[in-house]
Amino acid sequence: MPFLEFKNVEYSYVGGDDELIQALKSVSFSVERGEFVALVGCNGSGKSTLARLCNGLITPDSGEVLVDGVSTTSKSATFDIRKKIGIVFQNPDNQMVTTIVEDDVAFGPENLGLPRDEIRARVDWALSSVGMSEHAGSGPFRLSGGQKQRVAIAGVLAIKPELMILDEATGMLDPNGRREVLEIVKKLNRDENMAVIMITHFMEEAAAADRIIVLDKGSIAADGGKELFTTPEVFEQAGLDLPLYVRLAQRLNNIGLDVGCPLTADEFADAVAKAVKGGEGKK
Amino acid sequence: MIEVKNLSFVYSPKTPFTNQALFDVNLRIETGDFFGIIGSTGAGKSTLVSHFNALTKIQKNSGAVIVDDMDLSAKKIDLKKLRAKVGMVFQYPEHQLFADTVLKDVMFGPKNLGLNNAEAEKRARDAIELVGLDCKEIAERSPFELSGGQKRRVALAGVIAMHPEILVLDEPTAGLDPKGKREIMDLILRIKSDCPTVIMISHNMDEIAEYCNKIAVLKYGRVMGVFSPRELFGSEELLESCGVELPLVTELAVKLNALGIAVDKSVLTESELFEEIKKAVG
Amino acid sequence: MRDVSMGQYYPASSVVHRADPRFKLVILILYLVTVFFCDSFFSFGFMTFFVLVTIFLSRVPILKVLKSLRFVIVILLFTTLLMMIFYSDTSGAAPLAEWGIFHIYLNGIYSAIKLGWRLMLLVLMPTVLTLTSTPTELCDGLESLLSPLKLLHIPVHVFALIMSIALSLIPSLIEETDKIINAQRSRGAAFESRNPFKKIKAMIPVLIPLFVSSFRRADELADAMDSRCYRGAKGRTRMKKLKAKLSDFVALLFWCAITVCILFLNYNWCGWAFITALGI
Repeated sequence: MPFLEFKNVEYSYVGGDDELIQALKSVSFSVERGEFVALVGCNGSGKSTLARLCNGLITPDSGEVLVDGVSTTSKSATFDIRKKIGIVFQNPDNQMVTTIVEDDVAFGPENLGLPRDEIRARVDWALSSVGMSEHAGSGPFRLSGGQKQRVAIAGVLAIKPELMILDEATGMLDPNGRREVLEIVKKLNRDENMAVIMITHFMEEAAAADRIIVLDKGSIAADGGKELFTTPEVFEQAGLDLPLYVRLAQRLNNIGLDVGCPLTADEFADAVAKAVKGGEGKK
Repeated sequence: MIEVKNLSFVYSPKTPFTNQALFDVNLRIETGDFFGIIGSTGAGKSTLVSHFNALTKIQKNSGAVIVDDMDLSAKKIDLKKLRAKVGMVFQYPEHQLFADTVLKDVMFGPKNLGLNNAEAEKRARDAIELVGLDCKEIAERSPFELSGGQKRRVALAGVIAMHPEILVLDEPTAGLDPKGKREIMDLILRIKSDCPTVIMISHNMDEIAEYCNKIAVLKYGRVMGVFSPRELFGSEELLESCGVELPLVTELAVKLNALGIAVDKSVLTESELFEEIKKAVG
Repeated sequence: MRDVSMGQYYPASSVVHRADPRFKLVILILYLVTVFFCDSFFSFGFMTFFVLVTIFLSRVPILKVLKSLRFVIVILLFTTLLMMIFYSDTSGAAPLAEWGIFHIYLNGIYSAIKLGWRLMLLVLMPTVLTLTSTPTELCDGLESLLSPLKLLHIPVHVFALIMSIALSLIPSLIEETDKIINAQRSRGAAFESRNPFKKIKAMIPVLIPLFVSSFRRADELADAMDSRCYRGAKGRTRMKKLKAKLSDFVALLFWCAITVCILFLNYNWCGWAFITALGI
């Protein structure tokens, strides 16, 4: 049984002009424990709607969202589902409930009704996991965007979910902040075996995941590993850019320099070096 | 033309929370420049540009800012004239929309300049068209019903309708998807033919490298220097000393060089790098 | 930019800063009641001495305390002046001076000074409290003190949470307001107008975006709280519990002693005299 499963999920909402906007159309996919999935799509593709469906913040119009086999429509299961799936949202300022970092991180475990020592231990662990232990006593106001978002991650982490969803959590950060957050997410996936769904339109971030799901106008346009980069049409149609090195590789392939499809910047450099040197050898 | 002379600025002076944001800044921005301002969060970029239209008053004995012939350290400044001259587009400008129709919102600026309704409306309609929206279709709609990208265009139109000669943009593409980013940058280039001077703050080094002709690097409230993009991005030492990160194109060029492929490290766009690799292949 | 959510908190390391906020609140109430019992110049002087000692112990510069009181002081002087000129003496003593309907009596001056002094004492100590405690501490202290009300099914927890959220959102809201005002000023909006109607009209382009963004924030915050397993006070535990130290009890005992002293001074307390003085 997959950990998270979408079965033909449809969802619509009423937009600004009183017209019905169909945000998701017959979406089906599943995520296993420990997976690192990037969910990419341009603005308005239905990414955030999908995130909110995962932990029952909203429920599907038709179809089913199952967490460990339990449907999110069941009211009695909501609390257990939210213990298993945590969401980090886009704006770090709108996720803080207190004026002190460690109190904020404690909010989740406090809601779980854990004993005091256990909460303390989880807060300390969560803060050290995101490298924010030294800021435990300070106010979030003085932190940078990236640091605030790390606190928000710690707040979700302290609940010890099995799946963490980052809903464009890097969208408002500067490049440094984005890198901080991505590193932490990678580490949590690797060391804690936490499943991650990273919602983003930064393709360089998506390239860090093991699996990429492309969402286009409410439907899944593609779902696969990094080999998806070899079919650039999928991304272009969804209004997304490929990572720079993939675009360059394609142009080089087109002029007859065979560099294949590199999946990281280093691979690109290696492939080009090989191709260039091979070409010289032939001369 | 904007000239900044020995400008310093201190937040909350004489309190335990005092914080100096700018130290003795000197800059010269010429008419026709596409001037980039970069630096990490808290480097003083926003504080600096907020002086350009006197949103932030120059503190006593803290230098001067001269916009064309206006000395902003003077006691009395003609604010109306200054703000018509210097248009300011803030981060997430769609958050400033307020009127019940798009047209009224865009007319807000021109009307504040004292133009009559007809003239303000004409300017507003022109501006809406200029930012690539269909005026007939959108003018009477509520700005709050539009999509994120459309809202940002409307907000931009609201500033452009004031016919500024200098446009200051704070992270104009923040939060947009790749397509939206490209559209906004194309739009800015289009605006630049009417509004010759554009000043842009950005964290996106790819955009800075591609569009700006001069780049000022700020670090902890100090100007580390003003460079041409090739000067700055072609020199790893300079980038490191200024604490600037590499645009992706530069990063690839550097990596290729490390592997013995001699491509010019000062390439600024994808196409330039492509041509360089082609050349290296021979 | 300064952190508004810190109120007028003056960061320093002192016994007063470190004291348990619950005790500070209780002592404040005890103090305020005591000030109402003060009647003679001697008792005012006595209280003032201990207030000054507290300020000294808190390591907040006295000028800082007075500065945060500067508006209150203006009102206070005004009230005192009114009291002085409108005092009507019934003892038959001759006025010291008179202009038209205004008469100044010696007793009037005494009463006015007492009134001013009393008001001064009444505002001084709450100021010291807010200078030495963060809003969060006060919030926690209040929640803990009010917790017996839970027995009456009053949702103390919800009030405390609302206060806490408000405090944490205020800085970003203020920042947002600043940004919107600057954006509209850049579009030529004139908030500098002297005409009050124009001024109100000028605020609309600020208020509407602010409302819109506040609602958006509230929505996002609600989602974030739900996602973090919030379901009200039900089954909720707390990580931190306020712990009273010996010094807190000592301070409380000390202030109790001061109260007793004042009562002695005023009522020459022996046996039931105190009660009769209260008029019971």
